[in-house]
Amino acid sequence: MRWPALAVVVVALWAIMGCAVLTEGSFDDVELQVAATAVAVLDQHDVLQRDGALIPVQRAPRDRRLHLWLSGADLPETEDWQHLDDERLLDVKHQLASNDLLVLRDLSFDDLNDGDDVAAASDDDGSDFSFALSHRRLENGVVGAGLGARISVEVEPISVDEEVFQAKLFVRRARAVDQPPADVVTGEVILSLALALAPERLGEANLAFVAPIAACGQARGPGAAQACKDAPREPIIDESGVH
Amino acid sequence: MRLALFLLLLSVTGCRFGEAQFTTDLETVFDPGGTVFSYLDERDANLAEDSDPRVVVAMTWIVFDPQSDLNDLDGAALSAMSHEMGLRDTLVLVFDGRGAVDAGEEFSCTKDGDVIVESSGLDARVHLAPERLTATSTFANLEPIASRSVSVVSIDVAAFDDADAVVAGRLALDFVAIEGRDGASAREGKIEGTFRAPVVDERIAESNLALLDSDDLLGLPLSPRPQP
Repeated sequence: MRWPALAVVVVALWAIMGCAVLTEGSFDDVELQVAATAVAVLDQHDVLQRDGALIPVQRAPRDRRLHLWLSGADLPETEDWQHLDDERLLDVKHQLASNDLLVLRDLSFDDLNDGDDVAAASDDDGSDFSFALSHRRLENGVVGAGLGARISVEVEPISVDEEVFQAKLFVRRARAVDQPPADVVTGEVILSLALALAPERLGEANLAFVAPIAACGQARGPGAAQACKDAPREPIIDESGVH
Repeated sequence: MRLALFLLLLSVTGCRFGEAQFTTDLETVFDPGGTVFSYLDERDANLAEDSDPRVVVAMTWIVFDPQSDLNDLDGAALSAMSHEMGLRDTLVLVFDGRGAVDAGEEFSCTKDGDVIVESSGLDARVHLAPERLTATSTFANLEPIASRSVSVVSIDVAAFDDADAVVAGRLALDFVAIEGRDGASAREGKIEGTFRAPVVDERIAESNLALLDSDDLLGLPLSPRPQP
């Protein structure tokens, strides 16, 4: 059996055993619960738009990007959410907005494939990728003087290729420089991931729903993140146009 | 799911409003024939009267009675209908003035994407149902519809003052790939068919279209006419 095929089998077995995401650590008493659904998508194509014409083009190898999202809700990630009936779609969006949600976008596939670490931080304009972290509603008792507002994410690849994403994510919360020197919630969560990559078009289409909810949830905070279920999704392009 | 079953039941039992039948060689089905109606855009946002109102013919896969007030439905049902409409085929024809819409008249409209490049008093707005993606949907087999649409509408009946007021006609719509703009995989094709759209009251039509959130999808209710 070739190594990539073996890796897929190992990942599939791990997923069947319920271990696609292993979580270690917490932000003080606040756990990060994102192990229920995890999706990684390799973005190898763009669709150019020119006076109504849609032209799918393959990205240059160095421009390939990997997107990743993890949620505390058990979601139907293998279905096309755009075509869910209204009631189910509302439920999916509600689940996304009311559970922990972590979205990482535009990670350099080549870097990860080469075994290089990539990192991003909420106060670093030169980050290697963008991310958003939103939390479920948290009890007052666990957040003390509030959450440390500086968030950073580091990705340490273990095995990344066109079929498998296996890596460790180090998600950290720290006190931001503009926060008062109070006892804010800080800490590090380590997520060990082993995922078979999702189909590109389906994965990107569903990410169009997930990413705006995560960005909204991070901006509004745990107290109001549930309102983000109505965050407008990003456009989805298909054969018949931009929807 | 319940709404889909309800709509399916309605479509099977033939409880439709108006008529529209289309054929296409686009390797798909084009069916906006669930509800077909027309109205005259007689009053602007200030309810001032237009002496030569625009004529709107609206066709959508979803089935409802455009003469009844959708305000009577609960919010969940309205939301489900609106959502379903976005997932299905729709076609809207907007004629510049009622005075020109008469039996035997012909109108044409050429668009690049959503932009009109040539028109003889017609705007044809086509919304094709979005693709249903699966694990086997790839960019390699993505064949976008060609960017230029050329629509020709021939009017067979235009009776606005009768008790059974109706607009009926034929549509031929060509999707044409433009060299140097469309990609090699662009799909050309044709939609042809007929429609028969009973005229309904403007107020109820616009209210229902607004309730169905059809502004983004169809540009309805119509925006005010551009100022000269």
